[in-house]
Amino acid sequence: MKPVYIQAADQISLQAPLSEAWMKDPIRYDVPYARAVDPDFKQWLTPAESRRLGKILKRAWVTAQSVFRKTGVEHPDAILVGTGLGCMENTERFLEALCRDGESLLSPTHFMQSTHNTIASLLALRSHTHGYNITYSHKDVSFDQALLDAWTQFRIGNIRTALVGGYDELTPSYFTLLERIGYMGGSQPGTGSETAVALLLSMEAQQGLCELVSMRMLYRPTEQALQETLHSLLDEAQLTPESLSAVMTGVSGREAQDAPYHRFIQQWFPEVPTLRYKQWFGLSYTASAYAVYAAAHCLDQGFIPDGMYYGPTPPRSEPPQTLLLLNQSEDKEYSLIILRALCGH
Amino acid sequence: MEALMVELKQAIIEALNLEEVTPEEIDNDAPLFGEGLGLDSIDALELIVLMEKKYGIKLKDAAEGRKIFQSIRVMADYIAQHRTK
Repeated sequence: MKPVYIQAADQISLQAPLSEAWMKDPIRYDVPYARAVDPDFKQWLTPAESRRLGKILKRAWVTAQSVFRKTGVEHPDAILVGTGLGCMENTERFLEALCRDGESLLSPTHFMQSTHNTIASLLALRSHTHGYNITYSHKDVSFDQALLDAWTQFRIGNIRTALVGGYDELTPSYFTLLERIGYMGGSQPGTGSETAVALLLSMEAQQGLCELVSMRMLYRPTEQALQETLHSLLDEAQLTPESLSAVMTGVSGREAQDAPYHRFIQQWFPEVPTLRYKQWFGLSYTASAYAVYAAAHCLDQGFIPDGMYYGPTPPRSEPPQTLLLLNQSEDKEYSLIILRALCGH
Repeated sequence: MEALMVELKQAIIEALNLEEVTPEEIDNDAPLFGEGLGLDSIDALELIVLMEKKYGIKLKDAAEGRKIFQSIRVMADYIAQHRTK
């Protein structure tokens, strides 16, 4: 099997946009809800794009352009997007107008931009990409599903380049709904926010950030299934648990959501340092995209910011070489990803 | 008519999200589509919705819209004659 590389990864988030400044100087939040920090869109979008596109679409197109510029890949073979809520802002505008004005007086722009697959469609139209185009909307594992599909397409030889994105926007009203069901907000830690991450995957290693070695997804795994999957994943990467540089989890400080992560680490990786990222990138359905983004840059830069470590196991003394990324949702959906630093990093 | 044209320009700016355009910058007689504001077919649909929502005017024929949306002055003339609210 030929290896798959993450050639570039960019983000718009609670941190400085389109930048890795968070690795040295992260912006800290102590609020239950905050919107992402946008770049100056005028530098990236034409006036027509700027006025026509909703915020999530602007973010998607800007992050995509950024990874295109960094890699020189302008027309990837495939575009795969994960989104939990899709174009929420325009969906709300559309539904509010529907309730207020009736069915005959609806804005076509809001309607067109209110579906989940608008994002992947827009990316294809703007980049003139006519290949495989798909959107996954599976709550907390939406991004992971998109990445798994891309990885599989690479493995079976269907594609050589892919744009994989995780995108979500969070409106104040939807935040209140998610707060009501205890997903975010309330008295527990974590900042409910939005996601915009673009990865450019390729079979070429030049100037890449890291290798996407392997990944697996499981639904309601038994202990035995989880153990077997972990073994096969590590075998495929020719790794042992002890040889991992760290395990990056979706721990956020919210007890119920964190419990499966703690159990997983205790049971399978008690001697491996543990990392977290949601304290800087916030909570959202596609927050796991930031795990891949952050891990790729840590491997590329050869260091892990101190603020990412949690748990009793001290950091390794050598630069990170391999990271296992764990995302889970309600102890039902599990996603496991292994990333490896490139030679010379 | 002047007041209606100013009001119409403001409504178009809001409906079409023309963030960087002020009513003063829109020429009353300049074409709205192609040149001038450079509007497109999706904007035409937005204007049809605007006409009904704000002035109670229902445009059923796209060709009719093409004539009415020539310029701010032509639109305002049509609105003054046909408005129901």
